[in-house]
Amino acid sequence: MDSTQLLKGVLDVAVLAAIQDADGYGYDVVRRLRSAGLEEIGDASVYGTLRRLYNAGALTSYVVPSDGGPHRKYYGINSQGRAMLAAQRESWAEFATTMNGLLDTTNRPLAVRKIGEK
Amino acid sequence: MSTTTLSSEVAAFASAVRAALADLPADEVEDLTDGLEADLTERAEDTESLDLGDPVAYAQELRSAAGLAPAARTTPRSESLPESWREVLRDFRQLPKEHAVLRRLGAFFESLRPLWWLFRAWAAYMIIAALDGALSAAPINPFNVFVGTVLLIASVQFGRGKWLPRRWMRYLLTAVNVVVIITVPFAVAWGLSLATNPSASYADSSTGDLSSTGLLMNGSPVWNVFAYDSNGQPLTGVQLFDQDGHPLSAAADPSQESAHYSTDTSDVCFVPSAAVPGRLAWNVFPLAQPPCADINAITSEPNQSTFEVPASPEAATVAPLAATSVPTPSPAPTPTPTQTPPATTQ
Repeated sequence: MDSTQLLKGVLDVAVLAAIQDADGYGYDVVRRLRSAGLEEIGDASVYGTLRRLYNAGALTSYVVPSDGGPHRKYYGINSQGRAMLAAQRESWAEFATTMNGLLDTTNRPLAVRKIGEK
Repeated sequence: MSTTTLSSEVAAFASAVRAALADLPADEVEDLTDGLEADLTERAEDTESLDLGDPVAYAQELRSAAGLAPAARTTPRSESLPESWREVLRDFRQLPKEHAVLRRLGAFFESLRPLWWLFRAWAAYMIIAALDGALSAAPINPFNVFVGTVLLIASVQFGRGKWLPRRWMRYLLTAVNVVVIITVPFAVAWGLSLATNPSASYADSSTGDLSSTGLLMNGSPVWNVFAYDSNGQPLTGVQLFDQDGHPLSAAADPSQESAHYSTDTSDVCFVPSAAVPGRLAWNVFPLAQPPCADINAITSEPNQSTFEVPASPEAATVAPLAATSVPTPSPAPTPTPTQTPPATTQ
């Protein structure tokens, strides 16, 4: 399965989770996600997501000048972002349980029909 | 890794990304790409690779992750011409979906497609007939009927999407359609002219060069002129001029040394008189009419007495006249009375 397709659906919650403990700038967040195991995540996807979450009011942003190099734009989570993260964590858990149940080979096929209806 | 190389690579990539986002408002681009150089530099240092990838794809990813619309289709400075044509075509094809009237019109014309197939076959037949004399314009013999039938069946089958298993064949059919459409006016004009006047194509072939030049009488060519005097005796060597003093040349092209006419029954040939030195005297009548077979044997100084000349005796010598002078006919001699009145005897 193409995991980049899967990533698209969970980018928001992944990015929110990556900065819930510490503020980070663009590539910093990418690095955190990659080291967490999401190797295939695209830089631009992360930057775009940060921008969108900021526009949605879930993040704060501030610029930190760096010595010699270009300035860094840091993003931090706010209360609205934390609420969003909590809600998404919940729905992800629900979704993951459902998918695990669906994909569990010992499960009854009846369940497949009920949940996996497309 | 050299820092200057890296920074120039990064700068080039970043500006390419910004260019790909150029359709967005400037502040949006600024927000999206703020810190881009720093991020790119850090990534390059991390991965120890200068390969930054495709800036357009990068911009696309950035854009879609940020929840913005994909690049507007009308951006394109760099877009190739065929690409923009394709877009015009695509927009054009979208039209019926947006307008019910166009949709109905389209359905109407679509039901006329068999007519087009028929017409295409006919036009193809006319084109082939025009190129190849073996086909006559109207299918009148079995071969013509056969060719016409094959074209008709092929046109209909192509129209139904049959018999075209390869993609290039469809392109070929499109090319044929274009050729047919371009030649339609000519084919129709030719077909109509043949329908109204079946012999039109032959009309001018035999006497064509005489119909508009040379001596004409009510539109018909005058090949020869016979003059008689008041006593009914045929005159020879009669030199004729028009009102402006120009020679009345009976030949369409007076520079030719002979004239050759074809009638329904026979061929007739004429040669100019040799009586006027310095030019071919096509205006001295009657013209000699030698057998056409002998025309080639005639030398530059033809001895016309060797030919049998109907209705006119041997040509007499004619005094040369200046081409520009208007000949003044000499007054006819008044007959002198030969009889003396009878003397009266007392």
